[in-house]
Amino acid sequence: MIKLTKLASGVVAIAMVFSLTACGGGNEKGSDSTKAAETSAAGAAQTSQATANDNERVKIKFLSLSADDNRNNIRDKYIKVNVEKEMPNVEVEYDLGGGGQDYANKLKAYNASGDMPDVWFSEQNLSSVVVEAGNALDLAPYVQKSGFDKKFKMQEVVTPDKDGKLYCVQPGADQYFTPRLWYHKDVFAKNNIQVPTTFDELIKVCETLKGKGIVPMSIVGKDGWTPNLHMLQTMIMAEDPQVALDLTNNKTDFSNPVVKSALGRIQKLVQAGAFAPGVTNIDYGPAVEMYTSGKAAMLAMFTWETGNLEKASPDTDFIVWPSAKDGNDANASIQFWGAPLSGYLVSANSKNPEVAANFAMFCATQDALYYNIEQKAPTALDTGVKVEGISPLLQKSLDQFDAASVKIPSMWAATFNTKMSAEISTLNSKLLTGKFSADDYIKAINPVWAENFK
Amino acid sequence: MNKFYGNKLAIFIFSFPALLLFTAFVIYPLFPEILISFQKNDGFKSMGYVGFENYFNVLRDPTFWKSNVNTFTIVLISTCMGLPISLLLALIMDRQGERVKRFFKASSVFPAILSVTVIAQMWIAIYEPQWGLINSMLRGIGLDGLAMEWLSDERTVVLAITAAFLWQYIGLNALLFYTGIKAIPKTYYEAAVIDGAGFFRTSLKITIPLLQDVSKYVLVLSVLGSMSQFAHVRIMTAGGPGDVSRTVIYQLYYKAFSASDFGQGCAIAIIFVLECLVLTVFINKFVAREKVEF
Repeated sequence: MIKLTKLASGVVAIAMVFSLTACGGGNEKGSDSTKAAETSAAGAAQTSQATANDNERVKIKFLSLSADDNRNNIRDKYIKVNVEKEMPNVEVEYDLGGGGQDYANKLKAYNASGDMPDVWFSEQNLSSVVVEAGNALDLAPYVQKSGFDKKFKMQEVVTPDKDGKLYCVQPGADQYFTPRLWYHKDVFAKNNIQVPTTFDELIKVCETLKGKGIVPMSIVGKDGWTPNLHMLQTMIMAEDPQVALDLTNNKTDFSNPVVKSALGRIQKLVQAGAFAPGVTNIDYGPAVEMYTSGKAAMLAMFTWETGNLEKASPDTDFIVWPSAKDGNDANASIQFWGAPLSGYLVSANSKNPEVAANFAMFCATQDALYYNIEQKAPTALDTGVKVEGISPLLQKSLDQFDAASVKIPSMWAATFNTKMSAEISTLNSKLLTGKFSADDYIKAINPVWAENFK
Repeated sequence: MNKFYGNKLAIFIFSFPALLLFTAFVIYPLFPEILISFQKNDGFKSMGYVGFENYFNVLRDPTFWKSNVNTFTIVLISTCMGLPISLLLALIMDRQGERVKRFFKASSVFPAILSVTVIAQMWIAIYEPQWGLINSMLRGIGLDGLAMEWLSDERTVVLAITAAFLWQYIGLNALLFYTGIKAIPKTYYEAAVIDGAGFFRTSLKITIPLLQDVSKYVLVLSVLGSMSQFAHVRIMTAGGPGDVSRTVIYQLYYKAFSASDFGQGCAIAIIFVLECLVLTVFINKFVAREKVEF
């Protein structure tokens, strides 16, 4: 009996441990049981003419994010409404995939089965997995045939990759998101502090603010978020934007002296007390709140927070991240968030590839219209809508954005694969402790970087 | 009744549905995991068998060993500090009046039934470096030098997480001990009192020895619970700063789900199973081997 008990307890212990990884194994379809797929009644209120054409209608299954307001509004107020008018031959079955990890799991399950929806929306990291599995359709011929590519202000958004393939069409809204150094004008004025124009001046400003008991700069330190998403690249671009470009194109690695100096600058900021105590544990919300509540004088954040910051802190302004090298004009180059595979993709196994491709381009256009009309934000895709009522702060950002001659995509969004993202998060978190050297960083990341493009 | 329990067919018929479910949903998934640990696998597809490469990579990784040190630190503190405190609380609870006992019982269970997320968020606030409870108290009594960045300092982060974990389960363990104490016949205590034994002597000579079955049960629960520590780490520090506070299970999660390396994730799982088995065998072999009957 004792032996049986021991055996049973051993089996239970094994089972409990294994079931943790088993959750992430192959069969992920079951986890989606709570996410009801919504079948659209797209054809319910059709005209008699449309009814007559029912036999010719093509059915398209469309998987979309359904956990955030922007995505829901784009689907419900633009795509659903306008597809009736503009693509009457298409009947859309809407598959609502939730958001975050739920959406990722659903898409991964489709990808594992090879039975993708005809069209879906996904970000770079998920799209790249689908493309790698050969489940995404090359859209280049359809984009060129329809002239969709001619509508882009930034041609790189619709330029095929080195193999001549284009797997994604996008509205081009992300491309206008760029990291800024936001600051409270009142706090600077009250403490008689001038806006820094060089990195050394920025360090002095941080020291002054810290000396007065104010947190100089709020950042999201948990998981190394701010250095991951932009600060490392910002610090590289502060010295030589070309090196950031070379990294995105795999022409250099992290042992480049400019990268090493950039890492050193982040370390210098930590050592100067630029960030709040316990920065490695500060999440997104608390970081923004630390700035809007006035506890921090500056905030390192993307322009997607412009509206919120203007509303919460009317004395907000921003500066371009200061240059770290004489002769490097900080205004001449800019980092943008968009990634080549963030947008609408089409299944390589779609029964109606041309209709699906046209529907994907239609979705990208509706997406852009939403941003132009509802958010009053510009998009790289020209919809013909003149964006009016832009806030002065956003306009200032856009002017500087347009004036920059070099636009470099975010390494995080556009270049890093899953493993690289995970490892660099760990290292950036360590870097924020101030006790991790640039040399150790480079030694740890270079082997992962060598695998990144394989 | 005894005849019924002696009927093997009846036992099989009644336990079959549960066994079937257990086999289908718990035992069966084990086998793919073992296979995956020998593959290069990103969670969606296998890129071929790689022999023991995943195991070698895991064992060469300093973070894996650090996560082991963290895990065993938590286990050690939970058992060597947590269990004696729980036992002491149970002994104290047993000597109180009914109303106090009721309060003790309710407050013991309360933290354990709260969501880990709530507990973790509460402790994040307690540890907050600028306005958190601990640092505010330290500054309040003039010990500014002891105010630290509890969750960002590699010297304190694991201990800080362990404290939150201990706080959540110390009461529940105390309640389990208390239940064991209530099962000890009163006659032993009555005889001890007649012989002039006080609280400490009765506790040492009667209560603790007669609690060995319960102690073993609580020990196993505590060890396995501490070994599989994940949620507190995920919420409180995400394994950081860097990888400083990762436990073995967190490292498994990181490899499988963050770095999309399911091969290494499953290899870690199997190594972890072996560690758990060694501990289980150790506890079974050396702790409370003799059956105690009242």
